[in-house]
Amino acid sequence: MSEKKTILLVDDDPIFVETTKIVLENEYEIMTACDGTECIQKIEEKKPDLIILDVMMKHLGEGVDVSLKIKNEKKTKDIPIIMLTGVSKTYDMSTVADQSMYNSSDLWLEKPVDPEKLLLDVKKLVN
Amino acid sequence: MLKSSSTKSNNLISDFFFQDFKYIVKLSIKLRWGVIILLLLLPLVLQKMNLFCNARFIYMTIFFIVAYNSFYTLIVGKQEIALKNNQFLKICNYMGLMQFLFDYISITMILYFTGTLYTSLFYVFILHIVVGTLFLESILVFSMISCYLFVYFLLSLLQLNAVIPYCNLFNLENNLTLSMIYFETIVHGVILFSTFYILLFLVKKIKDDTIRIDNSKTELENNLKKISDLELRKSKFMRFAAHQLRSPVATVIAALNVLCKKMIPLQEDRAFKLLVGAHDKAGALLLIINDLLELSRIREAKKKLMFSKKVNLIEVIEKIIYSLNSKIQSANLLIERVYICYDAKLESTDIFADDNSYQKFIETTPFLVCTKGDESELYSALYNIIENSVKYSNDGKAIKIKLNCDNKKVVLNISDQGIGIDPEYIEDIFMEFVRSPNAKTSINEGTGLGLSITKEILDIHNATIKVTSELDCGSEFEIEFDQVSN
Repeated sequence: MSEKKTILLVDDDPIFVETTKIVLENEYEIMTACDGTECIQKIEEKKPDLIILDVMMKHLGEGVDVSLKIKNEKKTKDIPIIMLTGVSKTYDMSTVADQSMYNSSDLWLEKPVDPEKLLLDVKKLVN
Repeated sequence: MLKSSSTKSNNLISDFFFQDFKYIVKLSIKLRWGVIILLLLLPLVLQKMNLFCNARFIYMTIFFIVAYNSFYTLIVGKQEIALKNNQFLKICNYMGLMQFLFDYISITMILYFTGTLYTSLFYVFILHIVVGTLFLESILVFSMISCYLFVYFLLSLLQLNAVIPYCNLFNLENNLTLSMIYFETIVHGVILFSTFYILLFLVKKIKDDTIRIDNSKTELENNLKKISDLELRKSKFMRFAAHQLRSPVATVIAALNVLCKKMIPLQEDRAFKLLVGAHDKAGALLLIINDLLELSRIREAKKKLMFSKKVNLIEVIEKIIYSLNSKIQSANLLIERVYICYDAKLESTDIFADDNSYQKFIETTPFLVCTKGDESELYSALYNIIENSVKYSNDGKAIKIKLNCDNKKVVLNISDQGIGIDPEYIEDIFMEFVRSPNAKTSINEGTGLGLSITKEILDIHNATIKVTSELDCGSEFEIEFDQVSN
C-alpha cells in the first residue's frame, strides 16, 4: 500500500479547518496552518503534495501573497494550490495590488465547498 | 486661508479675461495700422475726386496714431514676456496706466494744437478709458477722469489768457471763452463721471458673477467628487459586508454538509465539536447583523436628531465601568480615573481622582460635565472604546480615563497598555469591518463594526475622535465634545 499523500490546509477559521480535515483525512495526511507565516514554516518542515489555501486570513489577500511566494520559490513551485475564497475570485483579486499572478494557483473554489466536489478536485490535482 | 481665496479669485479673473484681452490688444494694433494706411490714401482719393481735403489735419492724425501704436506695440511685446511669468493682473494695470498716459499726451496735444476737443481723437480717448475700466481699480479710473478735466480746464485757461501760444494747426475755429470753459468742464465732468460710474458698476457685477459662477462650478465639482467617493465607499462597504456575512455562513454550511451527508463516519465528540463550531459561527453572524442594523439605524437617524437633553458624561463613564466590572476584575485590570471639572460661573475647578470615592465626589461636587445628546447612544459609543481597551489589554495593566473640561469643550482621553493597532490600519480603523490583524488573532471575537458605530454616534453629537497607537504598547482615544453649562 502506497504512502498517503500530504495536504497542507491553511485557514484562520478552526471550524472550517476541522470540517475540511474530516472530509480529506481518510485518504490523505493533513497538515494545518492558521496563517501565511505558519504555512511557509510547515512547507519547509515537510513539502506537501497539495496546498489548500484560504484567501482572506489576517490580512486582505494574504492567501494570494502566500500562493505567489510558493509559486516563485524553485523548491515549491510545483506544489498544486487550491485557493478557497469567501466571496469570489474577482473580488479577492481586487484586494491585492498586483493582479498579474492570477494563474499562480491551480484552482479557485468558493466556500462552502461541497465535500464530494472537494474530494474529486483534490484527487485530480494530487495525481 | 483668506489670502489663498483672494489669489484664487484673481486667477479666475485673469483666466476669464486673459484670452479676450490678448485678442483685443492684438486686434487693436492691427486695426490702427489699417486706419493709418487708409488715412495715407485718403488725401489722394479726395484730390482725385476734387473734394476738399485738410491734408495737414490728416497727417497730424496719422502722426499721432503711428506714435501711439508704436509705443503700444513695444509695451505689448514686454507684456508677452511678463505673461510667461504669470503676472497677468499686474500687466493689465500697467497696460491700462500706459494707455491713459498716452491718452493724456494725445489729448493735451489735441487741445494745444487745435484749441478744441471736437475732434474724432477725443472719442478714441473715451474708448480707451472704457477698456481701462475692465482692468483698473475704480479709484484709478476716476482719478484719471479728474486729471483729464483738470488738464482740459488748465490748458484752455492758459490759452485763453495767452500764457501759452494757441496753435490752430488744423485751421479749426477757436471759440474759447471763460464761460464756455466752465460749461464744458462741468458738462464733461458730469457725463464722464456718471458714464464711468455705471460702467464700473457693470464691470464689477460681471466680474463678481464670473467669480460666483466659477466658485459654484468648483463647489459642484467637489460635490460630484464627494458623491462619487461615497458611491465607491458604499460599494466597498457592500462587498465587505457580503464577505463578512458569507464567511460564517460558509463555515456553518460546510459543517452541516459533513454532518448531514454522513459520507464520512464521525465520532460523536468530533460531530459535537462541529455542531458547537457551527453554533458559534451562527452567533457571530447574528452579532454582525445586529451591528449592521445598528449602524444603519444611526445613519438613517443622522438627519433627524436634534438634541436638547443634557447628558452627564461622568455618569455615563461610571455606568460603563460598572457594567464591565466583571471583565475588568477577571483580567485584574486597574482603571485610573481623573475628572477635572471647571465651572465658569463659579470660576473654580474640582478634581476627582481615584483616591477619592466616586460616590462621595458626585454627592459633594457642584459640577457636572455635560454635553447635549442621547444618553443611551453616548453610552454605546463610549462602551465600545472602553470595552476594546478592556478586551485588548494584557492582564494586570492599567486603563486611564481622563475627562477634562473648560467652559467650551470636554476632552475625554481613554488610554490602555494593550496590544495596540497595526500602523497600516490606524487611518482606516473607524471604517466598517477594518480590524487590526493583531486583534483578529486575539481570543476576543469582534465584528469590526464597533468603532464605526462609535464614530457615527460621535458624529451626530458633533464630537470628534482621534486615535494614536503603538503596536504592542497600547492605544489612546481622544474624544472632544461640546460642553454644556450646568
